[in-house]
Amino acid sequence: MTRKVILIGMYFLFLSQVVDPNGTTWDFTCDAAEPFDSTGFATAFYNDPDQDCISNEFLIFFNYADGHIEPYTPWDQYNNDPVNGGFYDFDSNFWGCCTNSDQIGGSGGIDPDNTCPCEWEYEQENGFLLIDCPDDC
Amino acid sequence: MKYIILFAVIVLSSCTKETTNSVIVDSDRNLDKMNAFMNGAIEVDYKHDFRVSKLNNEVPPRVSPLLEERKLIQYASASGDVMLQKYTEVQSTISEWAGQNENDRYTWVIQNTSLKYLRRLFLIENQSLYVSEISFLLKILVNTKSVDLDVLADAFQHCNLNLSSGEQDRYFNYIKKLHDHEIDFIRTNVLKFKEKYDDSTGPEKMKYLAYGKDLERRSKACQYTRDLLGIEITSVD
Repeated sequence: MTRKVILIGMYFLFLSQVVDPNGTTWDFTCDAAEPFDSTGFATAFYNDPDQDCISNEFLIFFNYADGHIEPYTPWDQYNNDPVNGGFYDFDSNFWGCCTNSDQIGGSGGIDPDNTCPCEWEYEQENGFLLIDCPDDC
Repeated sequence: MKYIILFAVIVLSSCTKETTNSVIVDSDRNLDKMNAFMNGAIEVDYKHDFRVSKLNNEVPPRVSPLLEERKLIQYASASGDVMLQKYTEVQSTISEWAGQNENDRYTWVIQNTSLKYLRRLFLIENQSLYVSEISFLLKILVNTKSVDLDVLADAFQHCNLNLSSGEQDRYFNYIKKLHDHEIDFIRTNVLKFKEKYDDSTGPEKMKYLAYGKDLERRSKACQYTRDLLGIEITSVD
């Protein structure tokens, strides 16, 4: 009986995962909410164990209108800007992968080049938050 | 004759220069957008941060968007002229899918398209000309439980006089309830995220900054909605 339960659980776990064109299994797949140029589309495969929609385990395919496809990996992300540590925000304005008003994480909102300390100013009574990030250190 | 040829050369070289300048501008814009995509994060004003609802307590259905869905997304991301030109098709498609949406299959594309058509087109053009379009899209967004507070508030403000009293009450109450929910979420999480931001370093710190920026946008949307519609905020317990 226990074995049956485990096998059924593994079946549904496998069923809930997705496979990219290379045959690799991922937890999630998502298509970008906007074309990345005038006509191209982006498709992402990623893992998100802490469910915050920000991940450094992913593979993005940029599908160009002429048919060619370019992959984009956490190493590409890191090399573009080491500050982000290879993390990619899949709830950003162009993606919206997490579609949840209670979802933590960004819908865009950070400048990856900004390493200066930001001041958080919060007014509890009216729930107003302002985060001031200086341009220069 | 030679003056005619000279004149033609001057005119043609001017046209070529303008075309070249236009191509450079488009390339720069595409490059900026590609860079933003590559970075995966960009500073976004709360009015252009399009929020789409959670679906049935799960992540979006793992199905590839239909070609029709991708077309709507492209139309909603195009220039104003194209958006207007395609709107009849968009409205017809959204209506059809809204009637087949019991399992939220089309909620993502319906809301994505509707929010962008409102924010990018109908709420900035001559609103009196587009009251019926604004009313239609507002109804669709409320029916699909949209969570984009500022777009809902703006749309309501621009068309509420043309709604029935029943619709006015329903939409206003929905917006107020959403506002209160957002305020609760901000109050519950802000100090927690700030503490984690203060205590962490490197990419972890940037992650909590992203969380904070999300709360910041939501709090601005709430303030904007209160100012626009006269909603009162609930007191802190």
